[in-house]
Amino acid sequence: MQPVRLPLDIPSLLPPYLLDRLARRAQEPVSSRARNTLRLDETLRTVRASARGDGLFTRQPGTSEPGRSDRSIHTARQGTELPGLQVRAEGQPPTGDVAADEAYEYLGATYALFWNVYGRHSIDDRGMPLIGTVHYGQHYENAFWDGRQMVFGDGDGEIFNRFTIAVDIVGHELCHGVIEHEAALVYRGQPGALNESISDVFGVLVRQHLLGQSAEQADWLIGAGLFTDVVQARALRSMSAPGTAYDDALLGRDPQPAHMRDFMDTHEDNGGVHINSGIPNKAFHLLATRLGGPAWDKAGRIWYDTLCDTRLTAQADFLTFATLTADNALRRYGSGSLEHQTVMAAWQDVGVPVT
Amino acid sequence: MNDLPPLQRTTILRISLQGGVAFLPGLARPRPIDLADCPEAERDEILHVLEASARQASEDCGRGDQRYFLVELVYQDGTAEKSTSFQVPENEAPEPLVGLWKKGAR
Repeated sequence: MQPVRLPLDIPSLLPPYLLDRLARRAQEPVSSRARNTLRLDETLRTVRASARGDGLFTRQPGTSEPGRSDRSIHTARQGTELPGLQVRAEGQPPTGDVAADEAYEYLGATYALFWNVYGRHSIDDRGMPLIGTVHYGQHYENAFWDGRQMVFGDGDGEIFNRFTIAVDIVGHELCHGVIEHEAALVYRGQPGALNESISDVFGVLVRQHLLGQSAEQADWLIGAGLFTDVVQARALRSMSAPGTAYDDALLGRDPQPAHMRDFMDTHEDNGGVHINSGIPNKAFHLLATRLGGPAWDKAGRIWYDTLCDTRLTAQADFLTFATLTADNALRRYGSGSLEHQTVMAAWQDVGVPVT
Repeated sequence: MNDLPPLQRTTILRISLQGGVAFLPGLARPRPIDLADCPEAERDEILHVLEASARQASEDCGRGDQRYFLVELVYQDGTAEKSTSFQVPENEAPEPLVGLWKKGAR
């Protein structure tokens, strides 16, 4: 059998991003033909998007007054159409559907943290409706932010429980939306790990704020309760001891590092975004527990100031982020303050020395 | 880059489900499909699935904990063994690709 040659009309196997590279970098005639194929691909994608209704989508402006959330909970009824059928709007009584009511309560708890502590009015700070869909897919073992809303699966019931069970997961997904409206950190490598870590930080702060826990009282786990008893797992991640959340024959061993010397270079997981996030997670835990008291107060404010800092670019690496947290601690609490010094020490202790 | 991967000489196909709210190594482990001894008809069928999947490929997968399939192909190029890969968002993945992933040995 002959090897397949690159067809000059439509390179059938080439993914769009490789086509894009060809279009930009290859010599003629390959370059122009790649551009033509990309245009065709784009047309097909537009047709598909229109079929899904994406083409008609415009982001709804917030209708709620500052300080009031605008929640809308839907069910996908085990399908994948989003947002699905609305089952509870803002102010309506509980539905009796555990997942729907958890989504409603926990999106409210997330709004409360951002508004009460940081004065942020929803995801975009302009009152964007908080849309959550539960019962997504069949036995679906995930939760995600799709750029417009939060989506929660029911889990398979064997390894995973429903994904609304953990308030910090609901907060984590909503925070992905906040990040997109602020630094828009690229979802790959170190900026991707920062994206994940910041979502973990505010996810865990939602839980601590809801429960009224101090940094010392909190367990610093992400996704506690998500796993069934079948697996040896406390949670998805531990911010106090990255790499110790689970060790199980089926799940494998928690791969998170807590220090830069153990930073993992990998092509999996978008370059280790859920793996190396353990390093900035640990830095935040050290800062919060050393300062003591409510973690959402001083440590959380420093992280929030940094997230909203226009100097935080989409490509920021750990050192850039760490340097900005130190500068924001200095701005808010003063040079040489306990808060400023503790931020510097926390990063130093995870191998990201800020000078 | 004038050549497509020589699919007829692909020896191993690995498919893994990546992304999601956490990286769980045991669940994200690539599932290999040995193509070396695969009957011609079955191989052609698989290659059609890969072609359809590759048309949905995107470099920008995974954002916001969305899942995606990572497809890796190992093939012989003369005496050298080479590999290539692409990513397909879960909600764009053709059903036969999901079937191949399920079929792959854990």
